[in-house]
Amino acid sequence: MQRLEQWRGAGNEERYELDLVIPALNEEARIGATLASIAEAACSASLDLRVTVVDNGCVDATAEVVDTLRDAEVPVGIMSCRTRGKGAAVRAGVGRTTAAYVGYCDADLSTPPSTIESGVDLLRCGWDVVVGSRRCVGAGYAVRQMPVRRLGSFAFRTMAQRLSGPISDTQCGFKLFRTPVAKSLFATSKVNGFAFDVEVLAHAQRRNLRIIELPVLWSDRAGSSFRPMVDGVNSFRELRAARRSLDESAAP
Amino acid sequence: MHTKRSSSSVLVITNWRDLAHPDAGGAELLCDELARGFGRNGWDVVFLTAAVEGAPTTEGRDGYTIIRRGGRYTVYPWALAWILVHRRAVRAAVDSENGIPFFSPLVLPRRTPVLLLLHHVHQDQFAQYFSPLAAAVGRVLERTGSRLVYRHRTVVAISPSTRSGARRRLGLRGDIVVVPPGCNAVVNPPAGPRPRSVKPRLVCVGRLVPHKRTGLVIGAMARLAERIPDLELHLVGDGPERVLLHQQVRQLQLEDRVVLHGALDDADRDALMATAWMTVNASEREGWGLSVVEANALGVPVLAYRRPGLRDSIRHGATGWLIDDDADLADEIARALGQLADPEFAEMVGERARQWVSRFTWEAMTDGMLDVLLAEEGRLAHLPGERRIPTDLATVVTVPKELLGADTQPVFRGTDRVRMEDGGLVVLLRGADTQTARLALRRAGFTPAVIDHPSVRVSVARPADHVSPEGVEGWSLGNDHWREDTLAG
Repeated sequence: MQRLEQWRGAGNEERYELDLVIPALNEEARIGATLASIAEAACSASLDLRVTVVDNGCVDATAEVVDTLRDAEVPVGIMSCRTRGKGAAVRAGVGRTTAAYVGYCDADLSTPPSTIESGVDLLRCGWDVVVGSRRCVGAGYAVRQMPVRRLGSFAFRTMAQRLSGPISDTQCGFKLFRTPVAKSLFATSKVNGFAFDVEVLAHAQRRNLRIIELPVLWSDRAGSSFRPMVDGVNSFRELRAARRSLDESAAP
Repeated sequence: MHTKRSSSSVLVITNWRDLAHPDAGGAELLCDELARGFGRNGWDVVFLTAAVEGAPTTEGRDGYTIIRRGGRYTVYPWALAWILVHRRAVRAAVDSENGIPFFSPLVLPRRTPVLLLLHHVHQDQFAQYFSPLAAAVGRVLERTGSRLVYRHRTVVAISPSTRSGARRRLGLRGDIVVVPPGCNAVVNPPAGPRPRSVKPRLVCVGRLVPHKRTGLVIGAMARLAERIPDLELHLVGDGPERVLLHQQVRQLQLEDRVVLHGALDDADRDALMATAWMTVNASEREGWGLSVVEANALGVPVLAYRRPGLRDSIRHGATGWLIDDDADLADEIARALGQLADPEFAEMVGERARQWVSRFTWEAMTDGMLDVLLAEEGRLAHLPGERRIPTDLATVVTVPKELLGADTQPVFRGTDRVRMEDGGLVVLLRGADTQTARLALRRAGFTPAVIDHPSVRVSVARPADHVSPEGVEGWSLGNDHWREDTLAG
């Protein structure tokens, strides 16, 4: 009945090139396929990759599903974060990494795993931040979202761009960073919810980091834990909080 | 153990039936044991339930009082009326939910602790037993009704599956603690080696109702007839499907190998079960799987679908087998029986099964409930703003024996689950994540030197850890560069 937890990388002796953080809230139905396809992509691209699943308060069998995939080629660790919110979960995962690069993606893998390899290539070329985008040239939606969500995200995007600058899509759930950059960005960010991307990118812009957008082919999947009404409204509130904290940090 | 209380404290337990009811099942047994357990701990327990023909309205029994009023539906207003009249004398209540809860927070003061005891989530089951309209009403009462009435009150779930359903299907908002039920056979294990039958024999115990899917086992018997000619199946239990199942047995010409015993008394049932090679549970879902635990207590392994409740009470590969929904039941039975044909293997599995269930005693359940009740009392004593925000996370920490010096006597919170095993201490820290586990360990009285010791391991709790925290090969907090101060805020 003993379980072997592959939680390597805790010391300095084992470094990975990329630590991919996956925040998860009751994802037992979706995370299995996600991990399997990440593992497949990592093997075919010979990426030195570790996945860190951050349990954000699951009551279901998410961790058990991850356990069943432990034999896969890619090492998987599970940690947890009791502060609710995607931002808080990602921050906890980023804070714990020892890899050279760190990134995060969604548990439903709305982004095709092949994008991971392209992203790492960009980091190797010296970029600080790679932002997955569904909106820049070359990107697209393989499966579109509901009209209501598209309207909501249009309004959000318009507001977000005032903070984050010329980034076409802040909310795509796929971003990669050089680890020192990520650690310092997340240490100064405060938003715990879905709008955390905007704040992190706004900080990145102000520090004149080298940011590049990477086109991704996006598939909308059913079963998201994003509740358009509740979380949508909260996201706008978080944007306002992010702006306030940015203004404060900008003031001398 | 808990000390006896000096003042008279009334605990109300509500359940739609009691053991005197002809259809009494696992939930009724649990409530009876709970009432007796609390009685032993010095509480004045009043058990409110529906009237049963031939049973007195008020009855003293094993240290508690049963008050039987109302029928299947009118028991709810009757119970609420009783609680309303006695609300000042009531110190705490446990509402046992059998589809529709008793809603006693409606009539009790806000600071009186009420635990909602959930056996399983009935959302999908109403339609199997009621007309569409009644089923819809039932679903609304169980889901919306519970959410509105019980609000942030603590919920006790008998298994991790029920806990998950309470949060995800019912949307309950209070803290949800798992307290697994006990088992009678555990208290009185039969002495001597098990009298296993010479021919391969399956014994299945359970009420013959649709969601138990007993027909699947009979169907598998037909397909196994050629492969295992001397295989027999014994079904114990009664219910509305009995005639239907009899027909199925006749149609498949299995009369000589399938026996429907009907309901047996406990001694006869256990004697028959003790002769089984294994038991099969084809149920769609269980709250926990009391029949699984009872079979295990007699050293009989269980084969079941990986379904709610069953996936909690069966340790796959150790105390039985969990099969996937698309698996062929006949094939899986044949494979398991093939393994069990080896007497040494059967003995080993039986021993593991007995060991696994030895932790499920009614005393342990009563203690668990009492811990939750006291924690709830403490929570309600705080001002609303200071009440802890519940999180469903929990962390398992293992501390080897060498690090548990005589001077370190860790003190955990009542709802944390502590298990001492040969290797050391295993504790389930409820509400702690893998970062705050450090703080929880400090609070429990461990020194930083112990906490950071490489052999102290932490890991995210799996559903099974809520039943019984297991020793896991997690990672060390000392080797973890994450510190509370690095990313404060």
